[in-house]
Amino acid sequence: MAYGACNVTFDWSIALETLPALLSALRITAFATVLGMLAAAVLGLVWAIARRSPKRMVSSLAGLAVEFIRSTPLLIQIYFLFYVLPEIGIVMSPMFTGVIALGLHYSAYLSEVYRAGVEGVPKGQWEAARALNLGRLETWRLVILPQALPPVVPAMGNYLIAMFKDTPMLSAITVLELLQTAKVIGAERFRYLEPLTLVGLLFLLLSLGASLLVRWGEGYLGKAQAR
Amino acid sequence: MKSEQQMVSMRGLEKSYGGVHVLQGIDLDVAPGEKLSVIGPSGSGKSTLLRILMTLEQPTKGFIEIEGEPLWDMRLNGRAIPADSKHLRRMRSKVGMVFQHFNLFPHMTVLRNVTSAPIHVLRISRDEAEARAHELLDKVGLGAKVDAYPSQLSGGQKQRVAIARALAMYPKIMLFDEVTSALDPELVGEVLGVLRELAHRTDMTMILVTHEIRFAREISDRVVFIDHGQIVEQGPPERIFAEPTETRTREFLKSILEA
Repeated sequence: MAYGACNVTFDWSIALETLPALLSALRITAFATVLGMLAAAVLGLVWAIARRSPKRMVSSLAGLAVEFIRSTPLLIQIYFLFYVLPEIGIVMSPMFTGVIALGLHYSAYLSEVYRAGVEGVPKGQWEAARALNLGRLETWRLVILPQALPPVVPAMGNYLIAMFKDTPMLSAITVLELLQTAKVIGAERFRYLEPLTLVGLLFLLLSLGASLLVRWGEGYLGKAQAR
Repeated sequence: MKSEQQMVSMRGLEKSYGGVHVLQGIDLDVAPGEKLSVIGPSGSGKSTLLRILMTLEQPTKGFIEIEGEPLWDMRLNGRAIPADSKHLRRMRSKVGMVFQHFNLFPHMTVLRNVTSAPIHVLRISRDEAEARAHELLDKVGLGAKVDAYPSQLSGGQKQRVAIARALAMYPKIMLFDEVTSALDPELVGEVLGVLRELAHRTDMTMILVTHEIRFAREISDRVVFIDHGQIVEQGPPERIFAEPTETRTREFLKSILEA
């Protein structure tokens, strides 16, 4: 065992050799994150608005859907979309499936974020909108969302980071993102230490950078709110 | 068709929230162009009356007509059925409201506060909406504040913007819900000044819920005293304020004048 442990020393030349492949895989990871976040942002807003619908059917269904999505693991959702949907004739590429799964899963969390933002808008704003005879759509678009969204942007940023860190799950359905690429390199060279360490470092660097951005954004929005 | 069409007509209006009867059978007519003041202790149901007229709340029982048309019901094949949103929006276009706490849109400039609804609801052009907004804001003495945000204004200025915003929708009936109650005393006068102008210079129907007794006396055609969700007494302001017949009215006026 002692001999084996000594053998595992970090080899910088292997690290450097594998870096280009990992960096290009990072592009796939980033792509999945950005598209997944866009899908989650749009769908989450749909949930949030549906949950405030005056029609009881719509609001309960949306509430149920959100609860269901939040209470089941992302990995199972990914598998379900990838392995079960084709059985009913819906075949999607691994990448597309991954984006849909991430978007769907995180839309449930984002709908809660939106809800907090919407609940932060005083009741008087809804009443003023109604007194001015604005329709439902205009009330949301002109009055409620412009006030509900800015305060929740930092929270959304945190979910963006969380989603970024969940992208390795897409390796389970053969998307060649960072982790999957590291595994492939590892299998080819019988060396996992360097590629996996690099993957960890890349996630660390980007997550830290993004957190700093979110924190900066919080301060910036705080000032804008104080206006 | 009656020869004198009432602007607002309420019969047997009731509102209760979980067993609490806020309004208990209100019968009230308001004539076109009439300036009506509603007075009464807090919690007497005055504001609820306005909120039902503005369709912010639905009555539990009773009937309201605006210009002879039912507000909360509509007729289908001769039967009354609950109003759909289209009917409510059409009826709502006749009514405007100014709130105690202004409820201006904080993310919009003063100009956009006044132009948004005309542009998006009345579908008039931006140029026209802005021209009209400038005119209205000039009228309430805030022509210089068009580019300010509500947070940069005093309470009195905010309330004057709110009045301009409601006027920009050309309502036939304006509801004023304790519009000076949230203001510092030295700012009350500027808002009352605007209301006075409106009362004297326009033929809009105005219903004011107010604690400003002297002001109500000055501008109202009629004063209604409400207590415990019922109309206790009503009549011309000179009579109500000088020689109220009901004990409850007398006691209320005494308490408010002593305060």
